[in-house]
Amino acid sequence: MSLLPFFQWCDASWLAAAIRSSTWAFALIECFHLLGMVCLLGSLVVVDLRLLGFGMRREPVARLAAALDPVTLIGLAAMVVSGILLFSSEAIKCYDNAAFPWKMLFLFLGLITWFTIHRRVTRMDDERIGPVRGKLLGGLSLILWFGVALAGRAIAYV
Amino acid sequence: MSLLPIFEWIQDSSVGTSIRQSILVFPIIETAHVVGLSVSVGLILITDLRLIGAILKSERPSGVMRELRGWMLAGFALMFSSGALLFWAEAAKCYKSPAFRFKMIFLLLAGLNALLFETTLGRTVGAWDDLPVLPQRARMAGWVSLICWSGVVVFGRWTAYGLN
Amino acid sequence: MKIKDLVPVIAFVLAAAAPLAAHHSFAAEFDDQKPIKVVGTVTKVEWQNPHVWFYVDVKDDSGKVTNWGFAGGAPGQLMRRGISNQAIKPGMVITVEGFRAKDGSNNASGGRVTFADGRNVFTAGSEDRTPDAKK
Repeated sequence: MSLLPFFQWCDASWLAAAIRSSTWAFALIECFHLLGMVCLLGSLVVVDLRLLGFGMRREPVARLAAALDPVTLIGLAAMVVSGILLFSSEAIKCYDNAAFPWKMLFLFLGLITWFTIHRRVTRMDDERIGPVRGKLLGGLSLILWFGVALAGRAIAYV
Repeated sequence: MSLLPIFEWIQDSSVGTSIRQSILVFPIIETAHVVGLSVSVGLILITDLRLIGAILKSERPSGVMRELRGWMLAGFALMFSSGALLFWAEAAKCYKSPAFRFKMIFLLLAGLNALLFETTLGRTVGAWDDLPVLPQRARMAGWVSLICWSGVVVFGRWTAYGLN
Repeated sequence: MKIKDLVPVIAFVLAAAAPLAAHHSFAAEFDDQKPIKVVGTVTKVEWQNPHVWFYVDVKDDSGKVTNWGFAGGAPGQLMRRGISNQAIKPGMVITVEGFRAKDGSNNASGGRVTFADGRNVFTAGSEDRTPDAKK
């Protein structure tokens, strides 16, 4: 089953055409994407470093996650909305690009992990999380989300 | 007096040229720059949100800053070293770019704000950091930092995109 | 943790609103409604990151010469397509098809380059469109 028709449909949409025909829209949307990334990764790094046993060690994981998850969600929302807009304006480029599927794979895995295991474990007491599970989760989460960022950067170079 | 010849000399040097014409080195340096900024500016975001009183109100700001300082500095080290290499490769283009000049202005302001904070409020932190509402100057420092670093990120992105 | 406490975070994300005439990516920089096709002599080649640039002197019917700049992909992208940094040299006469820059300058995306012997290569960034192939 080819996804090409979907990409072509996105690329041909009025939204995509509107972004392409504007002198400033793409650059502005990209700024939301980048600042959203700082919110997402900044908050995630604090929680995941804590899971790995670094950073704010005197805080229970659950208290940190409760404070920082909203920041992660805002960053994520900004990135998903801006990402959909950016994607639609260049859908065929993304279809042809070798790095784009990797970015989507990392994103998919990152989202699944964050909304299931990550949320569940970061609500537990520190003793219940345990050192091994905490470190595995913290490491996995960082790898997946920085993977999204690296694959995204690679789009411009492959 | 134009400084352009100096920046052209830097850009045309063998190191600058080989970075600029490389297949892998330039993308790797640029990626390191993005990782460095994600960590450093991301952690600054969190400490600034604490300073303005938006999150982590159960934590002392001094505690937040102290615990995250090492990682923030590591992120800065990566961001500045990769930034210096990118500048080496594109010095003249940066000099001519309005976006880059704005980036540097915001970077300077961010640095001055941090320096001012460290040398004033930072010295008396025990007197104010367990107050339920932080002193206005501490909150202002947080807001100024948020605005300046947003400017660095945004203008940094736009620098990368000037036509020739 | 109330919504109002998150206003600063939202403000941070919204702080991006400074719409300068800034660029990037095909969608931002070039106008897919303004295709261009020129024939001319290459005057300069900058085989560099983030974009390869080559400049072409184009003579119009009245004999006036305009120098056009064309932006291609990154050296790594072009290398993967088999285009080396020797592919375009000053002095060559080439035909270039691309799309004009949105800011109206004498710049365009450097999509399809056809050489004097009839060979052609696609030198644009992966996202750039060619005038004929709007998929």
